[in-house]
Amino acid sequence: MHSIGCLLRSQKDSGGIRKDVAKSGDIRERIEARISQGEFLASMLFVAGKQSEEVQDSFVANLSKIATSVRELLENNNLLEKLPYRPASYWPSVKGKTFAFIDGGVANIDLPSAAPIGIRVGSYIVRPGDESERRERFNIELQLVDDLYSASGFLYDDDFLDIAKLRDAARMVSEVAAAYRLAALSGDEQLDAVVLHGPLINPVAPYGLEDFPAFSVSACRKLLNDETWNGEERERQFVSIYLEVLERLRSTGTPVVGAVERSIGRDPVFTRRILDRLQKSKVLKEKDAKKLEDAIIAYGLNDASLLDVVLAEDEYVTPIPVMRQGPENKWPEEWKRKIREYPDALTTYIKPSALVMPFRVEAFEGISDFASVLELILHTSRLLPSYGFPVGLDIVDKFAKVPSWMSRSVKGQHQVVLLKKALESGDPRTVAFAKRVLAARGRDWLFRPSV
Amino acid sequence: MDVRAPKLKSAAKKKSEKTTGRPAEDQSHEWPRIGTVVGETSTGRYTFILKNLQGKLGDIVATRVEVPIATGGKKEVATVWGRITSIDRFNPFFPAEAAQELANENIKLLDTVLSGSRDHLEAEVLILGTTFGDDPGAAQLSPLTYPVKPSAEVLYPPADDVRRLLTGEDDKKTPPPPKLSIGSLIARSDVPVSLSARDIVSRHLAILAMTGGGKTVAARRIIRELIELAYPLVIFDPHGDYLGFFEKRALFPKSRVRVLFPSIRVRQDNLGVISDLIDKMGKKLTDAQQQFYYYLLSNTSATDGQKAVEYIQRLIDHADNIAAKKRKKDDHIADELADTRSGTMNAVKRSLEFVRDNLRQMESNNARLRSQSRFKEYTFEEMPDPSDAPDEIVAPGTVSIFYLAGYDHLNQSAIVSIVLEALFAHRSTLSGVIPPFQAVIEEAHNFIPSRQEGTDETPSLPTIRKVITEGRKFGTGLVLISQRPSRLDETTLAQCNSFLVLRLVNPRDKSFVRSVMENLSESDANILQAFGRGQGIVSGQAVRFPLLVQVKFDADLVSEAIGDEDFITEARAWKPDPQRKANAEIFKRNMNKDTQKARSDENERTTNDRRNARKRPSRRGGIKPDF
Ligand SMILES: Nc1ncnc2c1ncn2[C@@H]1O[C@H](COP(=O)(O)OP(=O)(O)OP(=O)(O)O)[C@@H](O)[C@H]1O
Ligand SMILES: [Mg+2]
Repeated sequence: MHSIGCLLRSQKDSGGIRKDVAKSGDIRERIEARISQGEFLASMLFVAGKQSEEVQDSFVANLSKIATSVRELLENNNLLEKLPYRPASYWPSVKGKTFAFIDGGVANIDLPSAAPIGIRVGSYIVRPGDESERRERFNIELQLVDDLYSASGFLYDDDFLDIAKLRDAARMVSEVAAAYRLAALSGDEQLDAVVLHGPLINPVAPYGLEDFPAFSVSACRKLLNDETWNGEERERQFVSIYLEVLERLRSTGTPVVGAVERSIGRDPVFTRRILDRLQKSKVLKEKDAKKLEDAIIAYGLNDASLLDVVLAEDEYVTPIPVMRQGPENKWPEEWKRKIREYPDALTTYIKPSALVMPFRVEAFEGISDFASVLELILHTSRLLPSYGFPVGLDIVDKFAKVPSWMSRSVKGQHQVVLLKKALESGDPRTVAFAKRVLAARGRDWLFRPSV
Repeated sequence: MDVRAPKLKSAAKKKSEKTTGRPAEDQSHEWPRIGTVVGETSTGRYTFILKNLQGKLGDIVATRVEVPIATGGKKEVATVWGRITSIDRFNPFFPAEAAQELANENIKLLDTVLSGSRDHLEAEVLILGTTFGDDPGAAQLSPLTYPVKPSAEVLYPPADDVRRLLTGEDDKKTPPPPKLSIGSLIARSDVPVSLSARDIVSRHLAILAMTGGGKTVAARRIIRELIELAYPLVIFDPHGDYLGFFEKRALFPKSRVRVLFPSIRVRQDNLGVISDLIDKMGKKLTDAQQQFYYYLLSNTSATDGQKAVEYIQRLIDHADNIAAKKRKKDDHIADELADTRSGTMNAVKRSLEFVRDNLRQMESNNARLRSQSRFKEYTFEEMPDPSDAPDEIVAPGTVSIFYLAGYDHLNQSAIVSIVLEALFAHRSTLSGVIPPFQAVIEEAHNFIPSRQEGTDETPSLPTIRKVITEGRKFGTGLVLISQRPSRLDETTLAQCNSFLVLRLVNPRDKSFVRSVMENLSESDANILQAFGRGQGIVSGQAVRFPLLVQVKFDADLVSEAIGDEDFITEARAWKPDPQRKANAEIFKRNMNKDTQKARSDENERTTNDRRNARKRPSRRGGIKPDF
């Protein structure tokens, strides 16, 4: 681990000591504050399992070295931005603008069956400063349950055993489809920004499996908001249709971002991307980049937990494009060309306040005025000071959520039991029959209170 | 946003076709939808999300549910009727921390992206019962046997259907059973509320509310309805609240309204009450004095119908007589009095005199009140003897109002006891002299006090207990009215099968009412204090289910003579008696200081003596005429 020390020292030697000392003091403070909140416990345990005792002893010191290094790299290479939080002047400045927040809700029914997939995507469109009736609009943009069971066509053409994957795929594509519908609005209805709950661009390789059913034509038409669309089966596969919707969404030119509430996984994808870029542009030695990356991984830090101590309040990392599709060798052979076409996500992490973890924000490359969207993100996040996430997404999340009582009431019904039995039988015809029964009789379960 | 409504309808329609095997013609599909059932439901209550401004507290709402019917797995669609007992309003889209930030930064919600328009209204519904088929009034309202379905739609039935629900099958019968119309639903003035007259006259009604809550107004309404039915009425009126019926008797041409003043008369059959009364009014007697008193009682004959005052006078004379004999050492003195000292006799005599004076005082109080100029249009009659002439009190189309003002509680209670006891005796012995009747008792806490009040010797308590317990058999119904329910005798009150509870604030009264009224829900108990004037909850046998009611105010019954006193005006207009003033001046002018002083000393002594004589500590304290 002394390599980090070296790195640190070498940077210090290169000047700006006073400033660096101050910064590392801040970082140390942030780390200690986080540790007292139990935040780094997982990392500490992670280290404990792998590293020598001496390293464990100096956990805080080393973590602080890593974070200071990252911070200084960002600073030296102009990769750190700061937004002012100035609500009193910001809000009046966006008076009359229109912002949309989008989130998908999934009926959470714990059944080993394809049947009760219920996805709906809600939107909350709001015009700050507007005193008329038009100020707020809540809407369910898309609802994919009807299609799943209606006689006019199933959501998918066929059954597939991994129901979670079907559900995820349907949710991802319907969220961007809803964003597309809104982003495409023009004239009086033209939006100034669309904020999605979740990543804008998701990895698609896991859904490119053989046997993964294609969406029905009618489902695709709905997703593309295009009643005349007619596509071959391959074009109706998730990998194709998702890209199609994304491209259409991008081409609207409306600023669209995805805000990712939680970072899962330990892999510091974003930080690695930064190091790669610096290295590629020949401003960072491969050796140093490798050392830092190794240290980050050794300490079990992911992007959010690392940047949490690197970034100060109201700061974000200069957005950089991140390829989201994972290593090419894991891509299914028949989809490789298609997956290569997927756009990168212009990505940043923003830390809206000292109290909260930074979160990831993604946009398409070429988005116009990302900075002002990030200003919106900052100001809307500050309205939930201790949660630190755009309040508009919190609002639409509550709106779109399929209430648990609704899911529960489905579970309680004997039709479902019937379906379970059918699935246990493993006979596809029985399964199909059971689904039809469920479709005919149990449809009102998804009716949410219309308030 | 409600694009799904048509589908929902057809889905529900399909379902009812399936289960009942007949076309879903239910009119409920035309009833407006006002919300959706959410959360956990039971057979007793459910919660629903109410659409903005579509319903309010107290509203009768309906929803539908499939219930299993006995024969093998079949089911039927039931209409479940309920009443909204509470509504919570919250905005789930408006986080509390955002409010904090708005306040801290001094920014307006409107300027931000926060949502302020999406209030959730969560209404709680008490289930009243279910009906099957189309007509809400068609069948008996039966209990719900299977819980309401979460996600079911909640409907707002129109006034006509609610009205039919409230009246049940009654409207179908010919002739329809008699109703006492009392007002309308609080939430819906277009739906009238009435009580089943049969249940009121045989099963009793209690009207409870804090003072000013509207008890008297409600009682007048009910009395008026009973008058319309020509039902015989006896009203015990301590304050003259009901004299207006006499004043406005022209409104009831077919009825006879009488205002009666009490006179306490002795009869063999009420001698017990009278002697008790004398005993209680008088000074506490020692054992020896008590013995002498009993001697007097049993050796002084009473003529039936003789006034109590006169009878007491005879007791006094008798005592005098014996005392005189004793003084003269007369031999003709009864053996049992041989040891009675004359001091004992005098003490008893003084006690009787005290009682006699009190009674006279109260009689004259009452008379003075009656002769006030505001009653100049009134014809008060002395009350007929309830034992001998009950039919002069209770007769078809007759309203007898006993004006009890001027008497203290004990005497009022004795009067009520004597009258009711006699009338009840006639009914219960089936003497055939009087028809069934309804008695109205205002200020019931004075007539049926609870044991804690320490007045369980109130003479009217056992009488009313008996009447209320057996009234069902003999047609002697009661309306009990009180502003302090917790001071009422619980066993008596519990005999009331119907309750009208208006505004009630005192927590003890509220919890007492809850304990007596079995089916009063907690949320209903909680709104008692929020009722406005004349608003209340009516429950019990007289209605199909508990209802929030706005009692109709009969402005035409407001008495000009009684009315609300305006003391401010009275005090302002007050003129001291000039003659009295002039007399006082004479003394001021003519009497010198010394004489004046001497006089006043003497004066003081004599008044003190008199006060001592008069104000014997009686068991009940001094008499305070109750105006
Ligand atoms: N149903 C009603 N509608 C309108 N006003 C009413 C109603 N009931 C009562 N009030 C008003 O409230 C006043 C008091 O009513 P009321 O005399 O019936 O009260 P109460 O409960 O009998 O009071 P108390 O205990 O003092 O006798 C009435 O004079 C009238 O102005
Ligand atoms: Mg009153």
